[in-house]
Amino acid sequence: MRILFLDWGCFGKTQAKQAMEEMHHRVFFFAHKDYQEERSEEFVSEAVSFIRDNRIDTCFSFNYYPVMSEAAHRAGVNYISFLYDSPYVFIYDRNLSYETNHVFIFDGGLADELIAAGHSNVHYMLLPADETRRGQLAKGGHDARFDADVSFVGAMYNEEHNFYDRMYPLLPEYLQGYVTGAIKAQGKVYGVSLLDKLMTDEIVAELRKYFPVEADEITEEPNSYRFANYVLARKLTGQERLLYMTLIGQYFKGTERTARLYTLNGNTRIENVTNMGIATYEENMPKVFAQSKINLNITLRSIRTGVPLRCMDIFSCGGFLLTNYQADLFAHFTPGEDFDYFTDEREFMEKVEYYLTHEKERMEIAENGYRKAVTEYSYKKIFSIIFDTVEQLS
Amino acid sequence: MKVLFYRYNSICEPDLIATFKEFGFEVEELTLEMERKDVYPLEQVNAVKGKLDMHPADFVFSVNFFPMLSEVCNIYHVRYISWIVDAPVLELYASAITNEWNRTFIFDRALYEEIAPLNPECVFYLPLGARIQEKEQLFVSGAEREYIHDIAFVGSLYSEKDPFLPAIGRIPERLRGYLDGIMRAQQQVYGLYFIEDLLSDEDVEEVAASWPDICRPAEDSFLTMKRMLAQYYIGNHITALERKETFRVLSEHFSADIYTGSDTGALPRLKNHGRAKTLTQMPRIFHHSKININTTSKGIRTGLPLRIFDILSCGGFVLSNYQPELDGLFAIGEDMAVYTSMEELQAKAEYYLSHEKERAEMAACGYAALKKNYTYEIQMGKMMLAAYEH
Repeated sequence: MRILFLDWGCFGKTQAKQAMEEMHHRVFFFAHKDYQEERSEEFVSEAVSFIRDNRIDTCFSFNYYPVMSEAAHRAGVNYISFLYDSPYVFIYDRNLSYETNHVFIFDGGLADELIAAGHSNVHYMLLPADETRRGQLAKGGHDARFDADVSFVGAMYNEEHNFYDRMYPLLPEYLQGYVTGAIKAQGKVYGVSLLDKLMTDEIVAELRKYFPVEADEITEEPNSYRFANYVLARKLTGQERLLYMTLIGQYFKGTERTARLYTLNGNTRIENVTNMGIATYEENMPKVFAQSKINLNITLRSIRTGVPLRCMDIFSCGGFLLTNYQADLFAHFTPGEDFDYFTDEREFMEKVEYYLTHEKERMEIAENGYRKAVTEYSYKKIFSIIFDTVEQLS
Repeated sequence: MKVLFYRYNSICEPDLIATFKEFGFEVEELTLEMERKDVYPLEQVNAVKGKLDMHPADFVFSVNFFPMLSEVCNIYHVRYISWIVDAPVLELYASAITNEWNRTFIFDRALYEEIAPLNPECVFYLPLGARIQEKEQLFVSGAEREYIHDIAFVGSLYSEKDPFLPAIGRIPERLRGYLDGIMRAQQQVYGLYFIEDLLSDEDVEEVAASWPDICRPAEDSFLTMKRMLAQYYIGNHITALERKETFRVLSEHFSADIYTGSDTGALPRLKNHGRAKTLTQMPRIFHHSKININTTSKGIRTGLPLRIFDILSCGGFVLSNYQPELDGLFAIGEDMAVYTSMEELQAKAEYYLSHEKERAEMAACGYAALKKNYTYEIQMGKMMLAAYEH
């Protein structure tokens, strides 16, 4: 195939290109300033010309872009998109139903919702593991800065401009209570999006009076989507990440053990947890995963059942993964053999202690997870499943 | 054996009595409370004592737990066997629960785990059961048109027994919003009751302060205000909300019939037949209806309500909400169909209405499972063994 690869600052660009080329496809990068617009005639006409000039038969991008979808549809070629972000409002764009689209989504919960809504061109797909990571890591050698007992890489959602903290003081007391209750209840349950169900039309209409977060008119996004996923799910995720890191800090107090947090907000301070600032995706993050005894995954709550990219990256680097319960993981990996998980605070602390004191088991599990990920779910494996699926449907 | 059976009109009493009699037991009934509900405590105590003096019994039995019976039995040194068939049962938290002559059997594991530590030797876990003998002959007359429904339910909508309703207008705004949030969330979740965990002591005090009429647990009881608020007041309130929503969904999409004493005015498409007679009508409804709905009251956190056993014992097809104990007691998808959300309820109702063969096979499977494992004979046999082990 001759593939137009939408070139934006996505993760996995080189790995995906390489996998496609090893499968004897030709990859043409296409970049355009308007790629994130909902509608852009300029993007569409330039992309259509690019498709014609290069005799492109398939367009590809990580995540889904309405302008790319429009261009592919107009040129009459397939557009394969592979979502790794959630929440993601463009997924509700009306163009999604074009028969030229083939949408692969890493979150089984979201994929099921879209399929149930009649989008037969939507599929669930696990994100790929990078089989080249460990080789590169070995070349780089050991960097003692990244040694740790427990590490977490990710946002704390506590920036000053975060939606929830801006919204909360503006709300009347009833709604303050309601959103607090919604977050607390969702905190008790994984796999089901209570937040979406709790953002009923009446509640959303009330919230909008005080904090105008409007749905986009040219999309079919549910009325609940932005409040549930951008406002409340982030707040809950921030609370959970803070809680688990605080527990670790308290537990490690007065010991030699080290806990590290790699996050954007330098103002996040947790006792006995070192805030290391941001870990660059290509450069430092693999070292963190390889050199931490336990790598935590505390999933962003807008991801319902999916395996976040962080988990696949931890596997790729041969790191040991301790994660919250995410249903899709169990379809591909075995708990206690390839990774381990927790469902509450008590279980979390027990497993941290267990794996810090059972080194052999921990290392075996990390090795199993690595093997399974890079053999069964490598970029090449995942992309050949994607291309086969599309070929069968076209 | 001689049993003094304390009756108060629980629907399973006649079947339990019949089973005791089959065991060869002599059953003496105390029916005071069946006749009038306003019996005062001393009158009850005297009636029980009078019976025990006149007809010495080997044990006293009741459905659910009566602290008064427990105290009397403790004086008379006879076993007080009780089988909890409903939840919440606030009497279980009375100080009498610690009496050594109690043999208390609880059908709900979550409730059992809460109560057992108060009297570890004398509290047991025992799922419910049903009797099949008399029912078989009910159906030989063939199909009875009036009881053939697409979707049927026998039970209350809880609208008339929602104890939390008077509180709602009094609770301060922020707390009311908080409670609405967690209650609406709980309504979406089957198999995990998280309300108690999400109420802080301050929340409970605030509710109590704004609502002077709220019942307060007795001084010597093991019941806490939080537990009562979570399980009794809020649990029943959520059940009322949930049942209304369940039968709104069902009646808007299907032909749905209900046998209830509750007011169904808010659900105009739901066909209300009034109360069903337990012994004559209920088995026929269960037997003839295509789909029998079981929606478990929220007070039952993990266990299976009597309704499931009753439906299965009549050869009926069950579509039930998910309850954690279903996993160990029956085979989900073989003995009955199960839903975990309103969307799934609607989809499964639609599916099973149009798949008669699967429905009949499942009902037969469920009946066989009940007959093999959960007849009253089997369950009460276990009960007697455990009650006399020490």
